[in-house]
Amino acid sequence: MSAGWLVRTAEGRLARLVGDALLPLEGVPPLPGLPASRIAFAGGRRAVLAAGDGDRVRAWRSDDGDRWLPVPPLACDWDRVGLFADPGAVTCVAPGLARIGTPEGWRDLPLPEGAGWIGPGRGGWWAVGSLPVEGADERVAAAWRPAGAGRAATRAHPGLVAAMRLRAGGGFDRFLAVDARAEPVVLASQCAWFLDDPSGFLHVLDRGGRLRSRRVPDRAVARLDREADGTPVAFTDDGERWRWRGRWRRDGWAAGIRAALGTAPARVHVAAAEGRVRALAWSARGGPVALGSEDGGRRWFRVERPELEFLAAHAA
Amino acid sequence: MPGGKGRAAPRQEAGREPVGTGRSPGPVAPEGNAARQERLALTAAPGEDGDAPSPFAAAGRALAGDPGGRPDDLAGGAGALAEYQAALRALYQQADAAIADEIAYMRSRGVPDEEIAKWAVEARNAAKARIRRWDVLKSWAEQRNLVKYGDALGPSYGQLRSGDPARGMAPRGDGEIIEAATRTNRRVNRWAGRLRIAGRILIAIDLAVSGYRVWKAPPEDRPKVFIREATGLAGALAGGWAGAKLGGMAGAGIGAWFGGAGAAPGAAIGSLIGGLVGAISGAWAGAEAGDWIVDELYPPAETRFEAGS
Repeated sequence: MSAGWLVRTAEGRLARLVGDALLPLEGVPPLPGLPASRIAFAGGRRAVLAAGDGDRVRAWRSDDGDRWLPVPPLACDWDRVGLFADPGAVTCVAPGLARIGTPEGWRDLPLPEGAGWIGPGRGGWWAVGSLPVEGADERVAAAWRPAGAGRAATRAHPGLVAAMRLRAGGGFDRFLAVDARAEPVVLASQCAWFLDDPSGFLHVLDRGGRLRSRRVPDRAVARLDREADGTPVAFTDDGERWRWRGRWRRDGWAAGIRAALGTAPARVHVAAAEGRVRALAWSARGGPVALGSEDGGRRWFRVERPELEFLAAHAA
Repeated sequence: MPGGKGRAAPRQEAGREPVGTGRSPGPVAPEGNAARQERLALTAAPGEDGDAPSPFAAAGRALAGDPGGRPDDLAGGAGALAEYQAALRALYQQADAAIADEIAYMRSRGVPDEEIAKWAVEARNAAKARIRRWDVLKSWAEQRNLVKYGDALGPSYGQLRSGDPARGMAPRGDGEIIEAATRTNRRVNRWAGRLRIAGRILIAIDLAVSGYRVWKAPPEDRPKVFIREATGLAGALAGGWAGAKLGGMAGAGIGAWFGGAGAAPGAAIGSLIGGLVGAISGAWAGAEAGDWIVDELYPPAETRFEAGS
């Protein structure tokens, strides 16, 4: 698959827009009338598409972007749905239980107490969340490694000093995401007083269990990803890309997106592949606006196709 | 905008249900003390409450460390400005504690988490609106919120809940939103405490220097010197306040030329520079005004020289 956008036609059919070509999604029925906020798409090694249809989630998976296989529908609150292009699964997480859906069906993954989300890892699914602090009305972030039979059970312990420092800054209340597909393991959290401070935190957990953290001020972590060589990458909700090279460095995409949009975006969904970058940006006043870049995110241009409804950007 | 989004008012009277929860939490428990009522009133949207205390008066009481005290020490240049800001922060924390109390009460009555979360977000934003009306250093946070959420006060409940499943991250549930509504920024709280200490030291120095000047003046000149010192201090306070406010607005405007994101740091820098310039200018203008008052009260033409030895 090439970088492009997931769009919906006036007839409600979903398609990929790659260059000027409109490529229909074979096997996915038309979804007219379904709000765009109830359609989600994640592309990577595979591509996963999900739709919140009433109190059910319907999903499809594709290996090539053209032919799509349905995942059996499941009753699940849309807010609890997650999409993971690698390994190509849709998840539904409830307290104590995660359900993982593929075209082959759904399987259950019991979760330890305090786990609120899962993420892919090399040895199976990891779990993240928080644990209560003894003797205090507080919780502290925690991650659980997979420990046989697909169960996430072994807790990862960051250093005491790191934990204390992060707790003071509000970044160690709970982990929201984990990517353990390669070393180092990457985790994300959000400031515990996010009504006052929307900042996010990026964490890297090395083999020795040492946690190295970075606050990303005034922006939330939107997505964790990896480059082809396993380099950890993170995207924040202003469209900025952060790469881990011994420490987190930003690539400056947010400035270009801001310039193309004409204002600072409230939320950006970015997808990148081999220098071709696509994004959907929402301002506080509305959106989305489709943006593209052919030079690796330095300069961005608007894509105008008024006959199409842009739903997501995709890289693969 | 304050009140513009139908901010909720909390339970304030026996028999009154929390506004914005959509359903009754059941019979209301006996009322708490007057101080709690005052704290809760801070979470009412401006304009919706007839008897809520003004943040200025409440900040003064918080300054005095006594809910019934008087803001006698609310005077004097940068020191007073620092302490005033710290007092506003204390007030914000009080409002937050009141929200936490109310959440506990609503939970005890079986109100669904979704309704509690909606009320808590609205109550927090209402408290911000009420307190920030008097806050000269608010520009930075307001500019950031305007850009990010389209509202100077911060995110709405709907914005907090609008997750994106494709990002593969845990969404913000009602439980997390409720918890966040009961927390204030620890770093800011810590700095507010330091600001208060620094402010009191500066005020003490200001007052000591002024007192020394008055004391050192010849007895017949002491009223004049006192007027000059008092107007100088008042000018510094007013100038610092106005300078920070205008500087914040100007800084935000200049910063916005460099893209929307420049507005927030622009406002912060503008507030700082404006506050300093305003305090210095205000002190000078106050002293000049004091001289004018002294000249009016003690016209040079009526000066009489007493016979010396």
